[in-house]
Amino acid sequence: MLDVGSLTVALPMGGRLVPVLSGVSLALARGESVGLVGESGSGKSMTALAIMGLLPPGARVAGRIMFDGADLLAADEAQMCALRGRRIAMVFQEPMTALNPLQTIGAQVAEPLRVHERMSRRSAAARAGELLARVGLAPPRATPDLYPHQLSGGQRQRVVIAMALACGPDLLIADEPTTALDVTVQAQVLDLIAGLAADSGMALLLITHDLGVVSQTVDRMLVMYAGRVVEQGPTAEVFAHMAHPYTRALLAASPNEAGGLPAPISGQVPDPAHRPLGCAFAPRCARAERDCTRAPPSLVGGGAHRVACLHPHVAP
Amino acid sequence: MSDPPLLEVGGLVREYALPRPHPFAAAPRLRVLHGIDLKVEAGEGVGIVGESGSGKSTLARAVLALEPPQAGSVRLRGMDLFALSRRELRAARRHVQAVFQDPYGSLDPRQRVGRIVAEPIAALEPGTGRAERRRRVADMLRDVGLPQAEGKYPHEFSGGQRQRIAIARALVTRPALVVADEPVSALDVSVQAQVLTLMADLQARLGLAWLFISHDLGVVRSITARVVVLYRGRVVEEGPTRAVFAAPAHPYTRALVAAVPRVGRVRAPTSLPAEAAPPGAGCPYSVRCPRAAPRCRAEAPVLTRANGRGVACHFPG
Repeated sequence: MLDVGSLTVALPMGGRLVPVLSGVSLALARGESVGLVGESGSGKSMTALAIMGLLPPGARVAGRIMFDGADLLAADEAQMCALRGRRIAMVFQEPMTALNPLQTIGAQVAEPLRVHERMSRRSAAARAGELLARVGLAPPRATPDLYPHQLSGGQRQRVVIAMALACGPDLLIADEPTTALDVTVQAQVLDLIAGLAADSGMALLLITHDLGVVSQTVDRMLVMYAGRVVEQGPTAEVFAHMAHPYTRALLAASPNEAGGLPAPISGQVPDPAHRPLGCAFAPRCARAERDCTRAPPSLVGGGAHRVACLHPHVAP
Repeated sequence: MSDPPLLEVGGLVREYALPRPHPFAAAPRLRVLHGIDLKVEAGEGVGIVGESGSGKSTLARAVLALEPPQAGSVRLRGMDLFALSRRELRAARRHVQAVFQDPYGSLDPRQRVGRIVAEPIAALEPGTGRAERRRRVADMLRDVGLPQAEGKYPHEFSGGQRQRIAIARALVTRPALVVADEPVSALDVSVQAQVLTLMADLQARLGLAWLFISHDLGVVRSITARVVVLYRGRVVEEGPTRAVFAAPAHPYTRALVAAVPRVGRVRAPTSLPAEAAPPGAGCPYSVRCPRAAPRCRAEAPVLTRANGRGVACHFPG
């Protein structure tokens, strides 16, 4: 349903175009869930913004973004507006900035229905009440005439999800939807998103830096580093046979069940304007050899599990 | 008699006044901390965990003597912080410093790093000479891995580096205790690991005690030896970090531990219903607890301690 091919995005920085995404490909079928993992600066949010047609002005885009047969890179703003919020919906990290503090939550959930479905005020309000109940905000605990400031962080994120789901989207892009939330609330919100995706056949693109969340929520995963996909495959298979040194380093850096200090990755994510010529991870990589500095490796692998590394831990 | 502990919090109660419902009514009060007891020994790393609204940050502000409690005491090496004169409190502040969550908001963007890190010396140890001040700032910046950063401005650094600057500023007066409120929550995992490693290293090298406040159990597990679990302003469980997380005694701790997403493990369906009004007299957790019995709704459990662990539950295990 979504087919992103060799997507390359360059942004103007300091008077020149700097590539932030280089050859990102990803496909998503109806009902499938895919996770994008990586640190800040890896390009995961930029990929989402490119799909939504929300890149900053001056961005230069090449490649292909097809959604249900329509070419999104050729679509004009009016066509994108008709898609956004109706067929492709997005949930961001910070629910407070996504909500209007001066409007009731019922009115905000009803808005996409009024705009996209041209529903009457009354039927949109009724539908908004149903949607809020579906995300667990039913009376008497919560009513549609509450304002965002009267809700907790987890409740606000549920309102944002209700808005995103209002028109029954085919694709939900969730960018760090639970990063600002407590663990217990995080679990509830993830259950809710995964449950709704399973029930309605909606496809899910989940962006996160938390490998635990990815492992428990999505069917397939892509690990991104410095604007490229470095490893991808079915989630269980990637975790069982992690091939790229960066994927392993990311897991080692995450707080783990054994306790003890997580292992830092030495060095820093390279600045997009000064990325190394070869593999962008080579300067931080313990397995790097001389051939790593020549050209960025491309994704290879026989099956669904593929890795972009000349010296992987295991050959997928 | 042995020395008093580095930090001893006893029976701490903190209430906030809510808006009056009408102009002549008494302002209703919200009790955020219900008599907290807490001890931190010199050189010890203690974690405080709990959800939003559990009172973690209010406890931090009381320990830093920023807000006086309605009842209870905060003692630093036996001195009651809220019984001190302003001048004595200023002298005591050298020994307790803080690191906060936001590495962007907590550093003045218009001051150079050298001045930011020197500020606690200027404020809390006014007699210090200029040369010594300079030397200590340089040493501290080297200790956090940012040598020669004095002349630069905060915007020239990444989030993780700014948090190192905040740590340097907190440690420059050589405190015995640092209160860190969500110090790595805003950082990427790899940077988080760097900052945690630095904090553990400084603890070992300088004999520092950390009071480490976080909602992230994984982070707390990696850096603290002892943990205190707060729920709605009460200590519900405490003990050695590894033992508590490996075998939680309180149903709330168990729910928290189960909710942490982990690689290669299927998430159990969430058993915790969302927040609801706490009952008047009973256990505050009874409204969410899968094991709650009539006794739990009638009578609040008290924290009972045995073998270095404590739990406030009628039916622990």
